[in-house]
Amino acid sequence: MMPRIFRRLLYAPIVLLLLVTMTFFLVRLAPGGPFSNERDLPEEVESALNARFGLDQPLHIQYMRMVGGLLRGDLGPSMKHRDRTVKDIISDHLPPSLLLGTTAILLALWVGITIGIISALRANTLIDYLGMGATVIGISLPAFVFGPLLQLIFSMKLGWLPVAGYGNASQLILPAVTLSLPFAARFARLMRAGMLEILSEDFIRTAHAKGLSEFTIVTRHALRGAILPVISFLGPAIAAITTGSLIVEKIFNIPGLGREFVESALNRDYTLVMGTTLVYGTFIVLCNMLADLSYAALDPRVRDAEEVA
Amino acid sequence: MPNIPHSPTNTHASPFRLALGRLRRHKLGMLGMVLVLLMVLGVLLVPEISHMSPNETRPWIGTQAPLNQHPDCAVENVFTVGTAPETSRRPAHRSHLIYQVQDQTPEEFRIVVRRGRVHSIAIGAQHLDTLNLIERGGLAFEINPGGIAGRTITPTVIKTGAPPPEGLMREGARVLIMGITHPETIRTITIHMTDGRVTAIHEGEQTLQHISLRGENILSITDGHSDTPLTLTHWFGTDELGRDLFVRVFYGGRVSMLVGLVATVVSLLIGLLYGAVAGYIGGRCDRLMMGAVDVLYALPFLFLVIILMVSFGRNIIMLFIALGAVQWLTMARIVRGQVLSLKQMEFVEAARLSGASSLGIILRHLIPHTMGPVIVYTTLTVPVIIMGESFLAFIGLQVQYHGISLDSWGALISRGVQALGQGGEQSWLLFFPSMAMVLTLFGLNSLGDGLRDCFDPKRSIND
Repeated sequence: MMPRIFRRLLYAPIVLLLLVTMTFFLVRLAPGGPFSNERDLPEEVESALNARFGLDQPLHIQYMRMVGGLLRGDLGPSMKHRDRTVKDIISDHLPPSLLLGTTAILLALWVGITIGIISALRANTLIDYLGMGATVIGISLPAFVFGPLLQLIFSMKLGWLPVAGYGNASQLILPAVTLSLPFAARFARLMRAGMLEILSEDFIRTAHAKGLSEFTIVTRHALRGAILPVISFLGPAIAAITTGSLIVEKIFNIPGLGREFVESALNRDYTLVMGTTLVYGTFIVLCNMLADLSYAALDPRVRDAEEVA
Repeated sequence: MPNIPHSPTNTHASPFRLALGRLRRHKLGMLGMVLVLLMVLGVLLVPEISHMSPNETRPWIGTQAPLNQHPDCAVENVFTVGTAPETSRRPAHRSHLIYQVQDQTPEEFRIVVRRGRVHSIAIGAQHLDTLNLIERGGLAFEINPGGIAGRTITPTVIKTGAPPPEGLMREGARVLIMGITHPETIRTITIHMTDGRVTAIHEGEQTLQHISLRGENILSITDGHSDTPLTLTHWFGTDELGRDLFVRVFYGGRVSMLVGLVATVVSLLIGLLYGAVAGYIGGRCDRLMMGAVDVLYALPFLFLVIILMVSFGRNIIMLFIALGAVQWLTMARIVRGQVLSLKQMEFVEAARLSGASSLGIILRHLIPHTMGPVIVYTTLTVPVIIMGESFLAFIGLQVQYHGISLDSWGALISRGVQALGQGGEQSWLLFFPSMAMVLTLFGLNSLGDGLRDCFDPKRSIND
């Protein structure tokens, strides 16, 4: 297990350097720059702005400066938001994203595990089929369909919840539900499969023979083993939820980091694109690392076999 | 192969055929397959047999609810004796057409909105305090900055100092021009045609050589043989430019499915070859190749795809490459794992002994044996890519081809969400594209699940 951990730790900086490099060149190789779209900008002002942000330097100098800055933890000033540093913007917009993501993943776990257990206990009955059919729908329903649908029903027609915005708990319900749906569906399927496997084991039969109630058997004996696949999917799920939040933040008008990333990419705000991508990248790399490690820790069979599909 | 599953009824069947046999009994899988086939059929046929085309605008009808009908005509309908008529598809093929036309004189009112209130109303140099749309009759519509007629405005009374009619006037818009139409006398025009050419045009007693009719003025069209008017029915309603949503949904499906298919094939080809080579050569080369896959796997690709699409102008080829490049990694891992175990088998040894080259062994012997898992994963990749493309379209990065933006399902859904506004009145613009997309994704996912259960007998149904 140790070499695997070391390899993962070695990969992380390579991945991040690759991400930073690709982001840098993809953003810069395209024609135009952050200031070329502002029509009313005189040419002298544009070149002065370019000089101020070092954009008049050759590309490799800019690259070295940027990497040097990142190593010192300096993300630089934003090119579009006047007088604000990228660090300020990120620390302003990260909390809403984190809150939304955490709520969504907890919701997904709760709903997914519940549906998974019920489906497994009532395997191959109508309840099971309904549950599993619902999970396929959950996986097939993209956030940009489900979110507006929820807004239409619960905000516009019924008027129970606010349409969008950020600030109080009631505004968090619809976005969290939207974001959690596909993950709840996947958790439910994994939970059901894990539960079915465990329920066929001998020790469960023994527990039944001892006269334990079904509730005790499930919660005390079966759950511990059956939940393993769910836990090993948690890492990739948390990583995937960051991309999901790009859309959900847009739909529900939440001032999170995802919206900031999309806007900065559209505005060609070089430094902000780099900063937000790096935050997301680091987070995803960490999650993937945790996921890989938990695979190995939880299931010795996976430790040596390498194809983790 | 030692572990071919035996079936008592058909001992000579290949694993492939056995799997398809199992699929036939897999209810959800079959449902998925039927759904996918229906959607593919619809997407291929509907735009071909429809009377309308996806980008045909009819600004004067604007946003209309599903099942709305109106006379079957184009924006400009030009008839000149001796030439082919210029109008919409169906009337051009009739031998006899009778048009009821009501000429309308558009008037332009400039309405300035400031801080959510009507600041002034003007027609020409004359200023008005109130504008009563109910009394004036006819149709009133907003004109967008590009000079295109936008949504129709519900007849109401507009007063200076009062809020503008809700949802109709953009906040901060300085100038808003409306055309108001006056009902006048109704004219009847008869057109005779043979072999697709106009032979005579009559208006009352007069005989004309040439006539041009504006679509918004046409009240009804009949073909002289029956009383039923020639109308277009918009089954899914229309958008704000009067484009038929039914055709647009199926045409958008073409874009979505094409992207899904091509990007999947890209990922399939790269993944198959890369995985097979890594698995077959093995050793240090394999470790290096798979190490590269691990590194790439950890990259948040969607972010790079977004940056790529922003930087390089939403090129459709770029999108195929970008989306395909994300998905080949998993395919490479699956194929490599398969090849690793397959290459120990005797038939590979036999092929090598009989002088087959490494490439020949990979292409002819190894890759065909990995087809089961590859088919399963391919089926499950298509919906992922369709969703990925729609995701991009939703945040405003829909693909363009020679400068024309191709509205995929994602782009249609995005417009639908914008049309919801505050009260959700025009929900059909969101509902129909969403339904089409969800049904397709549901079908593909169910089919993929079914195939996986069937190719892997060890897994339980629905696992």
